[in-house]
Amino acid sequence: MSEKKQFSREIRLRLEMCSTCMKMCRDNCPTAIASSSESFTPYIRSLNVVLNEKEIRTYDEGSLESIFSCLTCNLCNSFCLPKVDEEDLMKLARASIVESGIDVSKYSRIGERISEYHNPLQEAHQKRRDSFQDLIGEKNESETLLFLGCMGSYREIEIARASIELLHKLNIEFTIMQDEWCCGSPAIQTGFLDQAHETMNHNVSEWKKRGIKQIITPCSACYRTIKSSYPKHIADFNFNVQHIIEVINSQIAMAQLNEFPLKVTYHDPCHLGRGMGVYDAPRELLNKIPHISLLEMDHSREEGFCCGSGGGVRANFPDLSKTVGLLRLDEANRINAEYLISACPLCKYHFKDLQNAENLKILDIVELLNQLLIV
Amino acid sequence: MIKDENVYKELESIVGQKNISTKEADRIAYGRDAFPLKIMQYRLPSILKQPLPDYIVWVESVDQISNILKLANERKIPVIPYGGGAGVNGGIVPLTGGITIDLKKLKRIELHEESNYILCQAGVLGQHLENFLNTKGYTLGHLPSSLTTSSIGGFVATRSAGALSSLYGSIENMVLDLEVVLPNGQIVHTNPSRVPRKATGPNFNELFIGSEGTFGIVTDACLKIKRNPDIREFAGFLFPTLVAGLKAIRHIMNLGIRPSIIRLYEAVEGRMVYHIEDIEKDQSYLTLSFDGFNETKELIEYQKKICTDICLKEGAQDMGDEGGKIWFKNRLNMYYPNPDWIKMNVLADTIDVVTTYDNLENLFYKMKEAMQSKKVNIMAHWSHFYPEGGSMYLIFVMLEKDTEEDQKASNLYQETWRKGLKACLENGGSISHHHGIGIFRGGFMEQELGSGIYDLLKGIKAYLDPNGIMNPGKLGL
Repeated sequence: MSEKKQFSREIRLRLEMCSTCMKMCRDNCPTAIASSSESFTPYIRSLNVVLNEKEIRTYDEGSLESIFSCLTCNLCNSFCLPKVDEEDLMKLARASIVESGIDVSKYSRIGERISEYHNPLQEAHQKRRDSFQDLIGEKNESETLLFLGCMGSYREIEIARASIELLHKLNIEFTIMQDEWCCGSPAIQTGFLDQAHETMNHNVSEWKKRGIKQIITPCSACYRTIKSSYPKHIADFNFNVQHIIEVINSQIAMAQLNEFPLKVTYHDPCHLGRGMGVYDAPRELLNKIPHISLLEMDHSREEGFCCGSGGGVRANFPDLSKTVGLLRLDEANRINAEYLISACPLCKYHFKDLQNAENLKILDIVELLNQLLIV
Repeated sequence: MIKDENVYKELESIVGQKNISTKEADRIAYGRDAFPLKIMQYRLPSILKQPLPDYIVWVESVDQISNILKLANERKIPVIPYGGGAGVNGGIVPLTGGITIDLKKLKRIELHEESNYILCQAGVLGQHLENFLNTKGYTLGHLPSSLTTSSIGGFVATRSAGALSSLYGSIENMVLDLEVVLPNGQIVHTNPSRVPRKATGPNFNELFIGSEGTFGIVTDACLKIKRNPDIREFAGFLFPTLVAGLKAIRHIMNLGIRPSIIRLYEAVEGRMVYHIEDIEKDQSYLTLSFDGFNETKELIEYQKKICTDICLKEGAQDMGDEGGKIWFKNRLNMYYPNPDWIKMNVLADTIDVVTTYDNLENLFYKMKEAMQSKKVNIMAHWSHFYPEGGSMYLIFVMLEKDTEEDQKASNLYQETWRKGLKACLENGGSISHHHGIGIFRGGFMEQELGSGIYDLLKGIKAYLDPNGIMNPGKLGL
């Protein structure tokens, strides 16, 4: 194990504040609600870090479980007056745990998977483009890159294909990397910073070789990571990064869309909403669809409830992840929505996996717009 | 570490493997509530010497609780019911270890609109119930500061009151029926027909409201609901003295007017809460709110006018509605951790006491005199009013720090509490209005109740819980 490093005074203060709180956010923490356990609350997670930091109590199975069960959705921060930023605290704690050499394989193996497969899903890297190769052909010279991400490439193929088709229909030129690796988000969220940096370095090096200036992605996690985390790690990061919503919102007018006279609700992905503050663009886009009835769930925008799959929780705490997702689907069902629309392949994949009511359909926003766009 | 493998196996057979833990991290998580002394002690190495539960179980049915209590009775193991862990008196601290039962998986809500009541299981958080009711156009009218984290079972167990109690009442005014698992495992209802009143002997709701888990575990409550108000109007007044403010409140109550919020602040806390620098030493600041409906808008306006006239007659200055609105909006802010206070090792707590109008001012000065010192500052406000009197919050703020060698802060904190409670009893007050008893106040219960009634309390306890398994050391038992 490497030598123990102390957190800065500022981080220690935020941890102290969280761990001594009167539990003001507990009614909103998705894992606290889903598990009914004190151990899966922000303040106990912070307490576990504080106790280790003060060398009162070293990490053990229970405290690691508490820390690694955080969805890093940061919903608690929307209800935190001093804004301790629990997501940041948990990411720091996880990184320090991984760095110190503690075996966390029981809670996350994302680091080794990203190193070995260049994706957290253990899918063959050489097959990354297989599902959409027919749409892009062999050409591809552009300064604009469509970064499809691991979920788009391997699981939510419909989103990848819809993104490509949509950009084609809008006459936006783009290229797709021959050798795209994971953006690094799952590794950052779970504390595997070496692996995150390795994958970031690879991607940026490829982009530079190809003369890329602009990056568009349909994945909220990729978007946040590339736009927000890459510049912190890579000194001369100079790319214009946009979520595909932002690109198409400026390109699509109401007259170009077929009507969709159904009740639709929009799920704010945590990375896009609280992570990047993008709340209006998806709603503006949806409201351009003729005759759409856009409804808000009980929790939306800054207070939007997590889908339950973030922070490595889907892979490592499947029951907890499922319960959180079902709570969100309940919200959509309570307002009688016919469609739940997200802007993140992982959210959609998770909801689809849980969905058992036929009256609520799950789609990504690019799929819906691709279906409705009149060419 | 498992204390007793056989007990563990039996508990596991009742709740299932996923619903039991003996991990130290979980036991630490369940060793404290929002008791300020405990929170402070949890920042120190002494955390590992704190009493912790031996087993945590999450129950999914009332039958599981019944079976656990039968087991605990047979084995004479302490049982501590745990809701939101929001209490401020250490009510869920497992003083002698045992089984902590987390009730939060009991979260069924059933609305009976036609008779204005709701059935709500003990594990539902107050805020979740209020959200549910609000979407249906109703309110419980129970908004304690802990609303986001306290549970329905906790409301009942601690005999809680919320910020709107002067109009909507406290929890005892809201309960129609309780489902309780007695220490022997028997499941009973205190008013199975859920009728609003009956003359069939004593009201058994009262036996369990405020019993802090010492007589059994409340698992379900039938609660009265009210229509959610369309209008909440605020008013604020600055009085020349504390007595003038109290006199105006009494006058308002005598007329049968029931503002939903009545909060009177002495100068020190008033300056802090309302950010008004020039509240002078003897002055007091009153916030009132009036709830009503679109159909009764004129009634609200008329009540507000009468109250304004009363306050002006007592020499008050009309401060408008802004202070009250801001207070209501920000009322929970003071419960968040304050970075400066953490850096400075500030320890603060509140002692909620209650007395009659004729004694409210006297009690403040007597308790303040007893508690304050160079290291302890006192401020206060008065809220939760009745025609006969009201409650007083004494807030003490101290600068002291515990170390491994020296428990200076803990000692000063406990000494301040003892002095306050002693002064309260010696001066005609009652030691708790709505925070309950928990650990510290237990030592004063005999004096509070008088020996005859205290013996009766102990007798009831002995009858219901002969093995003393239920939350030992609380309620002075």
